[in-house]
Amino acid sequence: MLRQRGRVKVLGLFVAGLAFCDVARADISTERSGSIVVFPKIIANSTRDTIIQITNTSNQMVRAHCFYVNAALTDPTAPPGPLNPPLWLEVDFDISLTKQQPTYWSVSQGREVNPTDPPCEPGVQDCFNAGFDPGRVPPVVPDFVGELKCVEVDESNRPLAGNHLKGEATLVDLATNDVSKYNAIAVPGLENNADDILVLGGGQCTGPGDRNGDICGSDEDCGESAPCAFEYDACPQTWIVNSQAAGSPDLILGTDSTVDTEITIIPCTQNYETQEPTTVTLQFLTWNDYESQFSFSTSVTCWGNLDLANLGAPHFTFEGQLPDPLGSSFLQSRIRAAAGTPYGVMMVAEEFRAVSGTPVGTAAYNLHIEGQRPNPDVITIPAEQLEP
Amino acid sequence: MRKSVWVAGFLGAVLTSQVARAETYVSDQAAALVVFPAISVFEGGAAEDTLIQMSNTSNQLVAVQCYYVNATGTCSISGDACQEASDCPSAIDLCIPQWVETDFRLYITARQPLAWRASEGLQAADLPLDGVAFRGPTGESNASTRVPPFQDESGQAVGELKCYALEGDGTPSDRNVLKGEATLISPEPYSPSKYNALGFRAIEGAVNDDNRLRLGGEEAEYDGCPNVLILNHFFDGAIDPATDGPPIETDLILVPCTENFVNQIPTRVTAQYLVFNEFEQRFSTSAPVDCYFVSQISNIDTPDETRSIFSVFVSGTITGQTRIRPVNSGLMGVAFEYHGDTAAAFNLNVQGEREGQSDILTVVAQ
Repeated sequence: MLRQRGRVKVLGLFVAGLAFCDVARADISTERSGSIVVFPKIIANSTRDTIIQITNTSNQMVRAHCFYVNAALTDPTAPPGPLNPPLWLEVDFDISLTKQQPTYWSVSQGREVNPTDPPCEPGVQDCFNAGFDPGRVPPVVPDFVGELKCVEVDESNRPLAGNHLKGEATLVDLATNDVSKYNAIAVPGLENNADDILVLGGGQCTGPGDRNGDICGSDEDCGESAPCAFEYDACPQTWIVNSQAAGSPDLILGTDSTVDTEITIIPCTQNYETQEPTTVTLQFLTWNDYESQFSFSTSVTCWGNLDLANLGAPHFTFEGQLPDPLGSSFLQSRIRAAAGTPYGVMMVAEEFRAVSGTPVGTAAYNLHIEGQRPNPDVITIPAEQLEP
Repeated sequence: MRKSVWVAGFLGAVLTSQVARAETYVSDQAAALVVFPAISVFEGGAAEDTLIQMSNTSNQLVAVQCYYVNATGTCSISGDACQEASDCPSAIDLCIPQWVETDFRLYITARQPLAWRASEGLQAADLPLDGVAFRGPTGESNASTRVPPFQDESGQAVGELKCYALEGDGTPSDRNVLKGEATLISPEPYSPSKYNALGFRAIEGAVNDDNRLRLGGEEAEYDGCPNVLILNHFFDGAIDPATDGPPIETDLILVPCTENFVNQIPTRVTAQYLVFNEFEQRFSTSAPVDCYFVSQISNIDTPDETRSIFSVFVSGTITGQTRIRPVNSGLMGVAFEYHGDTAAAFNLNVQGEREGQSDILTVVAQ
């Protein structure tokens, strides 16, 4: 029996080691299903709308608790400032998806629950919302800019590490039909204690003792309350953005064209309970194709949409690159959170092309990541939102 | 003692399994092998062209071996370029597929972003660090880099680009330092569509010096191809729900993971499609992938797109989920979504590994 117990212990260590190796290997992803899906750039105003697609990739019913965060300025027609801060208003709702079910809604209109929506058939193209309605999805307020985040939950509305959700966002220009599409960022879940604290890149102590429920990065942090149950994979340590210098010509469209890039950034740590916005200082290291290196730093609070042309950093612009004989059009930027603001970030980018000053098209794209943050990020959900 | 040996053996097995374990390709991390499944040039770049961006994410120069594969077909009678028989001027013309491979080498210096237009390539005069007038801070340069134009005599080419990192002696390297993006720009109104290159991460220490790059499976050198590709899409013919605008159509591009650039033998893969609509109803079809596959989704199962299971009139709902499972070899792909004249590209989702199965990319020994 002792031998058996010894073997069990060794086997336990082995399994724990294997699990640890797996934890260390996993990353957030834009091409795999996850337990949290994040759409960093959502716009619904007079010029653009966003179509959300979310799919259940499993053979069982899946539920999700979703949050819109409205980061529009209090007065969208006026410049930002102390008297015109962003709203940072959060609205939440629930969706349910049957096995393998895809669903969609336009952000400006939301989706109603109406089982009598007619299905599409020849002669009936006006068949919006046909199919099983995922639940009541509220329309956003006018002039909405911000993010959407959906957390997979179980039947009792508690967070669940199911890894069954994937998503895409399509930004549509209402006047020209121009479209721009990116994949949602999926955060894989590992194990979950089903409370209102979601820990990314860490977990909570699950053993008995004083530290039960504390946020931890390893079993050692928990002491006698070990083990530390990792809830979700960590946010990346570094984001890598390949872009063109703002205002530089497109190689295909010619010298009369310009390319501009926006990077939309949200902090990984968010507190929906206190509604206090998280501020992250970002460090940029940028190289052009002559291997010239530049650095830059800025802060993002709650949600930020950085236009490379308007950051006040000449090296991000074609005009700023031109005076240098080694100036160029193409840039690689590595972006990380500063050590003083211990929060990770998520981001997507979008390119805007124009010919002779006339916009001709946009293209959103997902960014590359490198490494994992050593510190956990925490998403706090009001407890009553997780009750059935 | 025996117990210690047992434990050591077990831990050894763990470590071994970690080394040998391959995951599937990624499109959001740097890798040692990158694939651009959709490169397109029409009318010498005047009607459509592709901007290719490739970067070195490391602090050291990397040599890169690349292969363009031009899958443009030729009409059997007229000799015109074609993708399918309907592109040929004569009704009795057949579109004979081709599979023309062209390889070249790049040298990308530390952290350097390189870009070129597919129709023009990158000539000596275009190199940022030419090694003569300009060098990097540590003396490195792009000297000896040449990228040929990707187009045939008709000014047309549709196909893929594969690139892998090399050691100094020209053998494959396990340095995961390459990332890339491709931007296709259509004719007026010049709608750009951008996707990330698919990256196969090398397993540290597992890459040998032969010319067979083993993707996934036993004794993997690189990440493998997935068991299932997942395409979230609007059914063809669906009206844009945001604008009530033009009907939406989706093109799917698939490339086999197994390829032989030495014998130039095209790989045939069967793709099994499972399609789910918003009523949880399931449809299925299958179609072969010969070397390179590009099709509007509602032409995958029938030439009459209104009768396709990918048609909004057949499926009954606006959006769908299609799960694509390859048989015989792995597949990778990207998709393009058209809202009238404008388009957007996006990477497909992946699920699972091809259990115990490898794909082999046989390259020309350098």
